[in-house]
Amino acid sequence: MASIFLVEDEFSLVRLYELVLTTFGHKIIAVANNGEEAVQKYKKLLHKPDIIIMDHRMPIKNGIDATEEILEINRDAKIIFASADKEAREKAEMMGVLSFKTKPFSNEKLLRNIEKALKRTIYSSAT
Amino acid sequence: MENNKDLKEEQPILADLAKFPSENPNPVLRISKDKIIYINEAGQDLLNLQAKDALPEILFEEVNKALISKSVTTIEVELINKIILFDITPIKGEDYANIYGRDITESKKAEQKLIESEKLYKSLANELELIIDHLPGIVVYKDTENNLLRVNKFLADAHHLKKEEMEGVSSFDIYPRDQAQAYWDDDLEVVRSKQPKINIVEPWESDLGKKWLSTSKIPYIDENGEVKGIIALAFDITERMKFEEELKKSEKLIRESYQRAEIYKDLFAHDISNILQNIKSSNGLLAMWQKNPDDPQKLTEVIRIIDNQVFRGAKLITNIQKLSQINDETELISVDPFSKIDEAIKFINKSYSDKQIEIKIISQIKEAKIKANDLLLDIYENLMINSVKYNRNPTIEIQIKVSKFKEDNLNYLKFEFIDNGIGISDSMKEGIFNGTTKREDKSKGMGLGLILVRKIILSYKGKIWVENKIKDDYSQGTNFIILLLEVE
Repeated sequence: MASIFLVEDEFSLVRLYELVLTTFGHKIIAVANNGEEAVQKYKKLLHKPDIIIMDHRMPIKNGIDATEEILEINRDAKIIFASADKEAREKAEMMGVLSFKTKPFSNEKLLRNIEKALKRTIYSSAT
Repeated sequence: MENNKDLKEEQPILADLAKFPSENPNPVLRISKDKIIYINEAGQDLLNLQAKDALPEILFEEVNKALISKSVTTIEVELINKIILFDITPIKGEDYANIYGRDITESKKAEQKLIESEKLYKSLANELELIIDHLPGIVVYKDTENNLLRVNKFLADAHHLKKEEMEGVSSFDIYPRDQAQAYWDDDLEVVRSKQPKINIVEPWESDLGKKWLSTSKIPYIDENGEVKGIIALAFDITERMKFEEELKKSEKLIRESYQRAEIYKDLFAHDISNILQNIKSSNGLLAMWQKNPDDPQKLTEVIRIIDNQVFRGAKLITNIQKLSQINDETELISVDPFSKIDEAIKFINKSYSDKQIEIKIISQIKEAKIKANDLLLDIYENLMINSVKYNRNPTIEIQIKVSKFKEDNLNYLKFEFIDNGIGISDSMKEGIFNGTTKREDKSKGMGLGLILVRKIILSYKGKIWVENKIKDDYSQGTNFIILLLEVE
């Protein structure tokens, strides 16, 4: 089970992620609707999430900028990008995000990526 | 004795002097009114005459005239291959005259050549003047003191003056001060540098109106290397400038159209991807629940999400179609704005039947007509969709305030769409209607709906802007304000 921080400006998608992820036992510990809100909320979280699911195109601050700031706060933050903007992939990958999912993707793919991320977290904490 | 001695001493001198006419290489004659008294050797050779011969016919008349008038007469005689100038000098108190001839063949030839070259020069000068006068441009020769020395007919005609009337006149007497100064500054640069200045693009005012010229200024340098004047050649490039300006405008329009198309394409691709993501995720959940039914409420919720996304996709397509239909020549008719508001409210309530929406119209005006068309409905619908879409409240509140508004002597109806949505931050307000809000970093602006709204309003010669519902707190909601022209 992973603790997840959802960063997505589409209310319907936030709700659908919630439904999918909670069904599979994951816990949504925070939601932000834009990059700025994501950075501010991340700073305040006492227990940092295992995974951040990050959209790119959002009001006020985009996902790439928010990711950069979050990684400055915590170099080990695990971020899965979920975006319709393919051109953001290269930048996101260079910054060291775990994976980049181009919308539309299936629930299964998202879940598999979370599993992979979790394994990596466990591995890195064991070593 | 003394005198004889002197005479003896002077005899050789006198004999030598007596040789003076005989040694003269030019003909020397002494003649009476009808015959030759003396002729030197050069004269004999040239005229084939001897002393005591009769006066030749060619000299007869002039000699007699000179003897009668007792004044020096000159006669030019053309012999074989030679031209001789004879000065007939009557001797005072005598009835004879001396004739001194000199060969002027070479100087005559030179004179003839000079006459011919002068003629040629004049002919060339005339030809050149004709050419310069009929050049479709200005030719001016100025001195280094800013005075016009020569102008061509083109320039004189342009000022309704004669060429001569312009010559000697300063540029400052013809042109506006600033312009004359600019011409003069260029002249001074040419004088100082002794280098031509080519293709200066400059304005020119004459009776032909305001024009643009491409001017080249060339220094006229004398044999001492001093600049004596400036030759200016200028051609009217107004049409070319206009064409270039039009071309620039067209290029700008094409570039803007291309950029707009890119923005539309980008927004469309993004929105469609999100719609598909909603449907795919929903579909995944439904497939999962089909095998293992969970909460029926969640099932209904997901089906509604799919329904909303289908509606959103359909609206996206119609918005794109309408965006391409609007142009500046869209025909406007008199439209009742209130009936269209009612129609839009019905549409919103039907489209979001799962949501709690309260829409209120606040207006003292009961009847009005505005300059619009069928697309007015799209303005209302898209603004209200925006209020619904960006709203997290259990009850979505939309107020539509209608009032009269006057600006620049134009009568408008002012419509305010005030909602309790998430609001729009100040940084986003600027580019919200053209999809350009931080497009370079892909921060999100608003979607195609608001781009369409703006485009329709501009085609109505109306105005649109956005304010906060509560002045200093954007998060309390948004107020979209539109002004639409009333039918007088």
